[in-house]
This record gives sequence, C-alpha cells and structure tokens, in this order.
Amino acid sequence: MGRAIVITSGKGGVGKTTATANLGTALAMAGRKVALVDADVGLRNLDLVMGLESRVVYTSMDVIEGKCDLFKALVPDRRVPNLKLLAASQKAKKEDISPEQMREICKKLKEEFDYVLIDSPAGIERGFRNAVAGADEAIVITTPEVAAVRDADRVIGLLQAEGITEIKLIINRLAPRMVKKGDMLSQEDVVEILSVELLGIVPEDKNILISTNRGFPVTLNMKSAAAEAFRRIARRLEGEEVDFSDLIENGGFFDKLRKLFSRNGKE
Amino acid sequence: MEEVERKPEELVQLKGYRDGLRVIIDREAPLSQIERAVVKRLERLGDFIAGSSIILDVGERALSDDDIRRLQKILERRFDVTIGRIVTTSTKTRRLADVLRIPAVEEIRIVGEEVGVEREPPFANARLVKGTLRAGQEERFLEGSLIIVGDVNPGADVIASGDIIVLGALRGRAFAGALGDQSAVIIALNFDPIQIRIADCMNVRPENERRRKRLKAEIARIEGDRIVVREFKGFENA
Ligand SMILES: Nc1ncnc2c1ncn2[C@@H]1O[C@H](COP(=O)(O)OP(=O)(O)OP(=O)(O)O)[C@@H](O)[C@H]1O
Ligand SMILES: [Mg+2]
Repeated sequence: MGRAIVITSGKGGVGKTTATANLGTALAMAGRKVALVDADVGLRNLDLVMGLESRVVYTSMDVIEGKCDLFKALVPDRRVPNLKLLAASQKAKKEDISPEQMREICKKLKEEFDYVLIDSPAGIERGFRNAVAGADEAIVITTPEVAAVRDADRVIGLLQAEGITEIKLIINRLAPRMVKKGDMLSQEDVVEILSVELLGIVPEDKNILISTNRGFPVTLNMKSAAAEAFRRIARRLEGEEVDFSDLIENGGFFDKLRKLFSRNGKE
Repeated sequence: MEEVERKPEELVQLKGYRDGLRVIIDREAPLSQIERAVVKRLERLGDFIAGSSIILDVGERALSDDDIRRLQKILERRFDVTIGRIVTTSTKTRRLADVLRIPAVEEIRIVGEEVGVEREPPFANARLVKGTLRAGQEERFLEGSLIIVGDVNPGADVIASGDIIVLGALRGRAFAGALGDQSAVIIALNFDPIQIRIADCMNVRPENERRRKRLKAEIARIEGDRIVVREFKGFENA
C-alpha cells in the first residue's frame, strides 16, 4: 500500500505544482512507482509543467463518469520509468467531483504505486477538500511571506481537523539576501510559527521558470540549487536523514533549526 | 421634567454563567432607554458574541409583546444574537414569551458560579486548551479563564471572561475580561500579540513594529485607564 500525499498551501502561486512535479520526478528517479494526480480541476497545469500536455487523452473526470478505466487514463512519463500522471479536466467544475470519488481514485492508485502525489488547488474551498479527501499525509508549501505563512497556518489547522496528522512543511523561494535585508521572513520565523516538521527549503531559482516553460522538471537532469533541494526533500520523504547543511547561510541557524526540527519531529 | 438617562451599566447588567451570557435589564426605565443601553453594552463586547444565544433577565417587569419583539430585533439584527430564554417573575411576560416561542422561566437554576463581573481567584474556573491555535481558529470561554498550552498564532483569537494565560507564544489576538472584568490579566510566555483587549481597553501592535524574538513572559493588565504590559515575575507580585 503506497502513501497518498496532498501538496497544498492555501495561498495561490507559491509552488504546489512545481513541488508536485519535481518531487514526483525525484522519487521516480530513485526507483519508486509514482502517480501524480492533478486535483486543480478547471485550471489544470500539472500536465503542462510535466511536459505531458500533448499526450493527455483522458482525465479524472472521464474516470469518474466511467468513460475510461483509471489505469488507462494515466499518462506515462517517457523520460522516467514508473512516473505517471492523472490529468484534471479543464472543462469540469470543482463541484462535478466529490470527495468520495477522489478518495476512491486515490485508494486504487495506492494499491499500485508507492507514492500518490496530489496537486491541490489554491484556497480552502471544494477543490481543496477534494484534493485532501484521498490523502493520508500532507505537504504544506509556503513562501517566506507573511500572507503565505498565514494561509499555510490556516490550512494546517484545517488538515488537522480533517484528521490528517502527518503534516510536513516546504519553504519555497527563499532568497537569503532578502531575508538579510528584512524583506522576507527567515526560515526560522516560518518554522517557529507553523511548528510542523520541516521537510526542506527550496531556494529562489530562475531555472524553475525556464524548466516550467519547457515542461521539463528541474530534477530531471539539471544541476540547479532548486533541483538539488527537491532531491534532498525526496530523500527525507523516504525516511532518510539528510542534514540541513545546504541551508546554512549564517552560522548558528542550523543548530537552532535542528532543535526546532527535533522538537516538532515525530520521534 | 424629563428624567436624566441613567448609565448603560446601570440599566443593563451583563453576567456570564456556565450556560451563557445573562443580560439583566432594569425593572423600571423606559424600554427605549433599555434598548440604547443594550446596544451600548453589547457593542463594547465586540463581535465575538455573534451566533450565540443569551438569557434575558427582566425580573418582575411586565413586557408587552411589542417590547419583546423590539429587543429580539435589536439583538438579532445588530449582534446576530438570539434570546435563548427569558427569566421573569411576571406571569404576563411568561405568557407572551410562550406565544413568541421563547422559553420562559420564573427563576433560573444557576449552573456554575457567576463569573465575569466580580473578580474570582485565578484559575477558580479555567478551561485548559491543549495545542496551538492557528490562523482562523478561535477559543472562546465566557465562564472564567482560559489557559492555552501552545501558541496563539497570528490570525487566531482567544476570548475569555476572566484571565488568559498562554503557555507558549501569543502572536494573535487576546481579549480578557470580555464581560467587563477590569481586573482580568493576559499572561504569555512569549508576549507578542497583534492586539490585546481587557474589558473596555485595547492595545494594538504599532504598524511597523518588527516581531519580537526574545522569549520573555509578560503580563498585561489595566492600570488607570489603559493596558500596561510588564515582565511577568510570578503570581505573588502579579
Ligand atoms: N523556487 C522557485 N524559484 C523560482 N520560481 C519559482 C519557484 N517555485 C515556483 N516558482 C514559480 O512560481 C510560479 C508559481 O508556481 P506554481 O505554479 O508551482 O504554484 P502553485 O502553488 O501550483 O500555483 P496555483 O495556486 O496557481 O496552482 C511559477 O511560475 C513557477 O515557475
Ligand atoms: Mg498549481
């Protein structure tokens, strides 16, 4: 039985789709069987970011309507074995899909895959509830901005209310120079407020933009800071202990972080 | 000669009991004065009473059905509060309440000690909340003090008729003495709220003040007519 993990944030545009694509790619490259589920119905773009748009024939809506078998609807990634995508319909509305139907889809996928990564839409409405319904765990993404952290906090509360206790955090688009200038919250501030286990920090990296436009996740082959961060996150997700040395910017931070980390960790 | 209108505090008393907020109205004053006083008193409580129901205590006062409707309308329209029960010794008022389908009783069995208005010893009646309150979450307790074992994050609210004690970081909003208890205090191990209120007083964090890092227990209380925050050095000299 695999793990179904929803990738969510509350605030829009903080990197949910980017993280889903890259974590999925990194896990598959490490030999895991991975299914990516686009739960952002109506605004799908996980297929685009994965560069699989042209090969999408069926969507989760077709599966729900019984037009197509679930496993036939999955689009295989030709670059990485064991990586498949269930696309979202662009025409359907969020209300056309129920939490129960999503739960059913995720349950079936978990039987075949090691990881089912669900890309959640922004917000906390129906689309969010659909995305969460089939998940056993959650990864909350935030950027180091006050508004994004506030929404992430809200979402963590809602996830806990849904009975999801395994919640981990990714801080995306950290730009150390802006933190130093005081224009951004530091990773320390974010972890202190959200007080959930930190899975990793992804730096601001222009390669992400380039790769997004090319439909080529950075983790596929690029030597970029973000790619490296996603690979480390994938290893931590696998239970490996990967130190946070990549994050040390100014002395002392690492130690504090480790303390927070073990305090909030599951142990 | 026209009578001088009495103070809202005299015309309408608020008391918190375990089963809800009790609004006790003056036995004689004209209803229009009572109405104004109710609005004044409830307005000061802020919007946290919205969605709740209150107990209306009118004593021996004989209300007309129009009187009841007027009070009902104000409470519902302005504060989103319903009259859960009417307490009165007047048989006429009870009969009318019955017609309006509001439960009415002669005397109310007091559940729990009266709280709120009079000072109670610390922790006499306290609710313990375990876990961090996150953005969008609220903890409200109008029968005494609240002890939060965890943080109160930005965007979360804590409201108590008595004291508020946060065994963690207070970064959201806290409203102690919510039923008017001026002696209520707010204590947090890491005191960094966006806004605090005690009874009628309020302090807000200055616009551009940066978050404070130091982990220092502090206590907020009313001194004179404003809230003063000092280092917390234990209860003896608190
Ligand atoms: N670490 C990063 N460095 C630079 N740019 C990034 C980074 N992460 C994401 N981006 C850019 O931010 C934009 C939004 O990212 P993405 O689509 O993954 O967010 P999202 O949370 O899925 O958005 P939505 O809420 O609309 O679904 C994209 O243009 C992406 O390229
Ligand atoms: Mg997205």
